[in-house]
Amino acid sequence: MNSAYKIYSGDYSKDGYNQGIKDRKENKPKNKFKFFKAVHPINYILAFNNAFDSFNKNYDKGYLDGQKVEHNIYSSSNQTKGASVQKDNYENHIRMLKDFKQNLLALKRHIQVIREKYKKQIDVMESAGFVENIIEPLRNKYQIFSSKIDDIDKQLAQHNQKIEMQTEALNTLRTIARTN
Amino acid sequence: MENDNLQSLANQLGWCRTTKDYLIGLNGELHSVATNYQTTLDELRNRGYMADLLPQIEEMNREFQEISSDLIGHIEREHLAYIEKQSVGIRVALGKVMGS
Repeated sequence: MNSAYKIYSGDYSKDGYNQGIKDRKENKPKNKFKFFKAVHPINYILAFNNAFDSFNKNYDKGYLDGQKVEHNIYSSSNQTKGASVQKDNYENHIRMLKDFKQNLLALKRHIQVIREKYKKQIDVMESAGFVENIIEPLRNKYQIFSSKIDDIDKQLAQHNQKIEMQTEALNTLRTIARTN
Repeated sequence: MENDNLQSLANQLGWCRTTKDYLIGLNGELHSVATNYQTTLDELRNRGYMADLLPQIEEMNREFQEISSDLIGHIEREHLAYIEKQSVGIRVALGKVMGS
């Protein structure tokens, strides 16, 4: 996203996420006042609420993702040598895949919810006072948007299936490692 | 009559703000999952994930980065920009009505 567009739309989600990750990595406490360093002065008067919300929401996500790594949720640092190392690796890998699959499933639900909400918004444009020549182009844009949502939804379903298959393969390997 | 006009413009402005919030929220979510995709792949790679299985995840990551970036760009260029353009027009009209 270029910075002109960021100022225009007030979308600071990327800045928020990256700052959250950075603060966690540097072991700093949460500090959402970083927003005021990241924000362009124009956004104090333009799209301030969007800028503030998008930064803060994604700062939390970034901080949490950083925390998962920091607290070694996926770590194999306490493993012993030999076969048990392999078993513990399987455990960690399976857990990582499961967590990741949850993210994809959440996104899959979210895109459908937003598509539906957006459709409802367009349906009520006329009653909100918009004239037809403003509404019509957005209806057309919505059709393309909706088709892209279908594409990403299909891809997410395929990816979830592949992750499921990989998890099953790891489960099998873990069982074999346990019996050895 | 003037009050009706004012109310209609205020409704339109509210519509723009709500719709933008939805779309910006979606873009934030897409960005977050795309970053998480890459982070998960890096973590698996760094933690000795099965060499036979890793290429499939690398390919999935490439596919997702491409499709999510396309959707984010589409939302920014075609939808948010259009709605923002309407917002600007509405604010100008609102200013005129309130100034008159």
